[in-house]
Amino acid sequence: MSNRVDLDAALDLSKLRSRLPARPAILEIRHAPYVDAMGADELMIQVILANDTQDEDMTSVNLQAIRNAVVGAVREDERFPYIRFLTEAELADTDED
Amino acid sequence: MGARVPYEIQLIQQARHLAEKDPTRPYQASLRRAVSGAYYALFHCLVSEVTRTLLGQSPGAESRRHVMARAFAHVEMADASKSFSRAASRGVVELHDSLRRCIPEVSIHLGVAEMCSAFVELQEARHKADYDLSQNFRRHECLELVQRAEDAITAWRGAIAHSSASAYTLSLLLWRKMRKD
Repeated sequence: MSNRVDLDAALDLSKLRSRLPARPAILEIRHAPYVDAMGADELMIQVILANDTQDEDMTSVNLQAIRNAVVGAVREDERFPYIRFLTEAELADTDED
Repeated sequence: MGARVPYEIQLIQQARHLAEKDPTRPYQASLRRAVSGAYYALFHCLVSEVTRTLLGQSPGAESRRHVMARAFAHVEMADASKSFSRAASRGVVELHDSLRRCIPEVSIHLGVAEMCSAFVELQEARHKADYDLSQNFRRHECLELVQRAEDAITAWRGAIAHSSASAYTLSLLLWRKMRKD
């Protein structure tokens, strides 16, 4: 795939803030190349949330607003963005695996 | 007697039940079946839509709808969904000429876009749930996926009359053949 963009710039939290809901609190947005189950070269985007995130923060409306902001930010990249939400503590658990 | 609950909604309800049971320490088997069920809710929702659109809704067409339902391929449906998802954010110019001509509004309805991206994400999650035991699923992650599937079905129902929904449903069955043109 040829059409890839500067994802660090595209996913810069300071630029995305105005399009993100107040809750859940987002600490960081990470990205990495990802080969999906179909063998396609796609993109994995991890939205890292604060550890004090509550169930009531994770509403459909809030999560869809975050997805829309992320998808809009990487729209010039041809790869499909798989988006995962996890807290900082869950990320640490995952990194230890 | 009340109206029959659509199969895709039965699957959502069952998936939520599985994700919420075992309050202290959920079985991985329950969580994984919940994710798989949420994906199949989307799969059957779309297959039902295509077969009813193409073959009609009469009881007499039911056996033919069941035959057509067997023709859908998961990978092909995901490929079509990725392309429609891309077209939603980048414009319908991303689609095959013949599909583009089916969308006079020149845009993808938000409900179609939500279904497309949810279908791809849920299919990927379902693959991990059914085949990859190297990482555990968390309950909230599964409940989010179940909710995502339910939201996608609701959004999809609001989009069915839009031309992009018709084009999308056609592509789910014919994607490979169109790509060869």
